[in-house]
Amino acid sequence: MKCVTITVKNQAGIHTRPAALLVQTVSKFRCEFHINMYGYKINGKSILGVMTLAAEQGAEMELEFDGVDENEAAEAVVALFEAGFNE
Amino acid sequence: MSEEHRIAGVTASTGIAIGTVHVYRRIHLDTDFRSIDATQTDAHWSRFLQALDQVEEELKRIAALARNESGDEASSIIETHIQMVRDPELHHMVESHIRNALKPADAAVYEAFSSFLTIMKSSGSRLFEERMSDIRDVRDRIVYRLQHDSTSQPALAGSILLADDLTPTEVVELARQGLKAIALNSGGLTSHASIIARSMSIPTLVACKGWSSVADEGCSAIVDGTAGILILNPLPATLSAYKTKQKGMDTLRMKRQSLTSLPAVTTCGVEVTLRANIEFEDELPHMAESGANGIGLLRTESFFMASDQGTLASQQIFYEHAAEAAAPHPVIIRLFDVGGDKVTDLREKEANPFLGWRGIRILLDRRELLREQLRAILGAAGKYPGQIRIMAPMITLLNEVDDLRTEVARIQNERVSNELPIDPDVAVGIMVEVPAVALQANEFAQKVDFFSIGTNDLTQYTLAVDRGNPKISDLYQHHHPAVYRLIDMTVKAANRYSIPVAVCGELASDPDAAEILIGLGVRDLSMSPSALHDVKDRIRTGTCEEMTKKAANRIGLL
Repeated sequence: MKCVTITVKNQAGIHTRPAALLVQTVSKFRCEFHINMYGYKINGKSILGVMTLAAEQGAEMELEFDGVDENEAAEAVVALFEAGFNE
Repeated sequence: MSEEHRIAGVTASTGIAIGTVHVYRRIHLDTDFRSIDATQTDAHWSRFLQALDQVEEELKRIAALARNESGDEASSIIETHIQMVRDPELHHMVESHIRNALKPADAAVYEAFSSFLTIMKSSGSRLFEERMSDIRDVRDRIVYRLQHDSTSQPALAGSILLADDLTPTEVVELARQGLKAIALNSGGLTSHASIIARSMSIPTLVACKGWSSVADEGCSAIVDGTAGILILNPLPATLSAYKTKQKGMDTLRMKRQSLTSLPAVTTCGVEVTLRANIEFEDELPHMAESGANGIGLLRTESFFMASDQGTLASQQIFYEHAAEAAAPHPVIIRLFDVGGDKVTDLREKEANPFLGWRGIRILLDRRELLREQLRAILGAAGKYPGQIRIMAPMITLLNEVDDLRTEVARIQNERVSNELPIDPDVAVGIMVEVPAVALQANEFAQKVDFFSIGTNDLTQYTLAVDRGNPKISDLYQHHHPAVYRLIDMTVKAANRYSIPVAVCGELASDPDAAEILIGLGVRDLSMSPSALHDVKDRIRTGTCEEMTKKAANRIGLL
């Protein structure tokens, strides 16, 4: 299991397009991926789940990867957040 | 004992049908669902998976369209919808609703989506309204598919279908399942659903309001398409009167059918060519029964709308079947006339779709779509030389004709260099439906191989009246002298430059109008196959002199 705490950087927050990009990226990996935020825990491979988070700019979340390729998955997802979802 | 109720409607397709009521709802949003038996859970789960595949296919097709139309922005939104369809959490929740809570598949989907929507609503973020409508859209698509699975529909054979509104594709699907008659809350006479119902000879009423509070599923009913009434729970006396009436109409129909093999000639010896307007494969057999001399208008929009079609091969096969059914007569294929009321999938709404991006305007913007269709048409033409003609909808400017001809030549050359057979003389004509074209008919006549007057659009553009708007339906006057004057100008220009001119709008199916059109010099009428016998009957009893007189009276140029 690999855990990373991260802050949402892009101005518009995780609206539809970033949510889609996140799910698309992480779905390529075999490991499980969950997001913890304000006491909610959702499946990060579920676009509907990610959208319910309504994560705005500045929101802090804990990313939880669990599986054979957890390190590679974490790297790809963190890169997305760092790049502000290319917005 | 239930009471007899009579509800007035507007006749869209004549005839009488007696049957039992089936209320058709596109999507049942009342989620007061029955529960299922434990033995049915596997079936519901697999239906859910099947519906997901169908919706995904549908969305991919829309995404491809959107990419062409408005770039990556719109298509990425639809890609997001596809991700929702594939959402693993959604699948878990639906499975649990089906297997543990014994909900039917449609209710399970509805409730799974509701729980996501509830969370989103409670967070109160400004981002939500937009997202929620996206999510609802995906939910409704899946629920729609589940509720339209033919195995989940009650038997329709012999039923009188009551619905709010129907799409043309729904009419065809339902007719296949054997329905007898239709009564719609909304809809207009010239809506596509009405046109299809007419061509399939299904008695149909539109603007038939107020049945929802009195009609029970399975109660007996009569649709009298001729008088324009729906009768619910008819008394025994009413029922027997209608049975007698129905017999009388059958006799009349037999008499009409004897006209099938006779030519449409006036008593003074002028021959008129009568052709059929066709949209669906299922209509082709009705064409032979009607005695039409080929297809004057082959609509092709169904390839644009149906979820499982749009491929080059299936288009070309349809055109070839049409050519076979029409042989030795011609088939006039109208290029995709999407836009306005016919495009339901494109997500961007235009403020004035009828004055907007439609017909040839779309095709010349999206050349690949046009080329794809021309490949299918010219492929069929190579196989059935001399029979296929191309007709462009919504032409407004002269240079649109030049652009279209360039594309036709390009595809013909492509076929030649691939050593495929071609018909070198495929005619390229236009619909005359924009008043500007009628006013410039002399110029257009020198550029095109034929004219076909589309009276529905010509009427709405001339009188500036939306034919789908019930508030102003009294303004939509087919017989307005201004419309006939534009037709007159078009016919004169066609005669001056010796090109054929036809009328393929709904006007041609009205025997009174047909007389006026013949009086104006039109010798080629195309209409719904079911209208053909009545028009022929009228032509065979009249003279050209009378018709010319009627035309002059109507047009006000005595």
